[in-house]
Amino acid sequence: MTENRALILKFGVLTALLMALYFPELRSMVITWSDKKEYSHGFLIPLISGYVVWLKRDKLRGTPLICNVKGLFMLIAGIVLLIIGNISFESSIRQYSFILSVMGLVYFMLGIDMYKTLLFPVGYLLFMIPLPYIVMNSIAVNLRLVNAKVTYNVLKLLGIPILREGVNLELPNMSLVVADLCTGILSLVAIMALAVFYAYITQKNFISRVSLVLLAIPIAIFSNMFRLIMTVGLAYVYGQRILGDVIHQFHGTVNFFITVFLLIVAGKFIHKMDIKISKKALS
Amino acid sequence: MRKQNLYYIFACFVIIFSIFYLNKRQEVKKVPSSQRLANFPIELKGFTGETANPSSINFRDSSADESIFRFYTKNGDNRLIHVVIGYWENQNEEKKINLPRYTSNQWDYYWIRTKPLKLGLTAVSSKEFLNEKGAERELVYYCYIINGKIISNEYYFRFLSMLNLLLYGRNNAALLRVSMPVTDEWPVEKAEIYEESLMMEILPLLSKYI
Repeated sequence: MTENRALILKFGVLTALLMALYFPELRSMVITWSDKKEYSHGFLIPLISGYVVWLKRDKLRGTPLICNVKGLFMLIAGIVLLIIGNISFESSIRQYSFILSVMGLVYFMLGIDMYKTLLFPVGYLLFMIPLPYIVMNSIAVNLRLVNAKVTYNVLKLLGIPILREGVNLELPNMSLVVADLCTGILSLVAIMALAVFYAYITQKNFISRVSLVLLAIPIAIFSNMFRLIMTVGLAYVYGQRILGDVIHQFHGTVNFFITVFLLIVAGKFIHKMDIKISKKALS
Repeated sequence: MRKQNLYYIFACFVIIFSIFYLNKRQEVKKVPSSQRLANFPIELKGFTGETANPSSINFRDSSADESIFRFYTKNGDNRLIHVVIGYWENQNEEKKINLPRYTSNQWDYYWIRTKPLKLGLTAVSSKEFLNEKGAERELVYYCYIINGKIISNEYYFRFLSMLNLLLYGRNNAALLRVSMPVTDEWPVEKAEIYEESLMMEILPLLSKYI
């Protein structure tokens, strides 16, 4: 018992030192969450991660604490990555190294069993890191064109006179551009974070969890397309005012809840399928 | 003393050392260009150039240590080819080569591809994209020059910048951007021929300047 206390105390000291080391990165992340609304979900991620740790509290109490030197290598690898990211001025590398360092610290000070138990909540912190700029752009550019094409085809089928030139949509009363923010790439990140958490707490096995997370991608993309089609369609009928901030925002919020609803439906469906398969296997 | 305690002390030492190291890190050394970019030839084989006002070219990146903005015309034709060459003596958090795809407000691109260019016997790659704003369009080519290599892949460029910094303590690099307006009468295919032949004239010369 005394040994465990000493170990936890040492763990606390190392955690404090690690936080001091990563303080500039953590501060920069918090600034990004508060400055850029597309990353505002970042504030929730540590809370969700903490909630998962709390859910595991009984298991954590029963897990033996055994210091493991392999974790020290992982911790050092994380710190080396931080230094590389610092030398090369790549904030993404620095921020991702934080997760590796925390994992290394847990493995080193608390042992392999504790590491396995905390792998999900610590790994989940990846969602609090803003996506690298170039990755974001590469995905966004493809999504923009696909969204513009689908919106054009659907509205044309509905009999709305529309022309498309690349990502520009021409209506008789106005011209619209499918911008990066319209691609849903930003809500996709938030929805993926939500889907991973939801899959973790509702699905029992790994395949079901992965299936739900994978299903979240088309759900998010299709619901964003639906939003775009609705916006362009309504802009044709009601004009420019439909693009005003309040209506646009409201539309986005409604769309987010529709996505969450679809995610829940998908989760329930996968869960039922899982039960059916288990029953079949038993019989 | 138990081995476990030694590991713990070592971990504390590594973290404390890293805190001090990261706080005391020095500025990356500057590598000036071997010749001033401003002296880059106005006359090239088959092309004639003139200095352009930076605001007349659809490109914004003011962090370069040296840059030139030019309009080139193919001899016997008066269509303008916009050329921007930027050189960064060093890069850091505030001053680094950003993706040249995003330009002025409301301009957007919707396709991009890698285009190989033949420089004598060697093949180099550049990126080509169509930039547009409503009915206005321009065909843009760009590539990065780092440590004597001409590359177009952003990830590889970042990787090389990082590697150069770790191995040689420098991350100087250049960016070449060539663009040309595209219209119904002057389609992408024709602009490609003009721009690619200009790039093939510029790139071998550029290596002598940076």
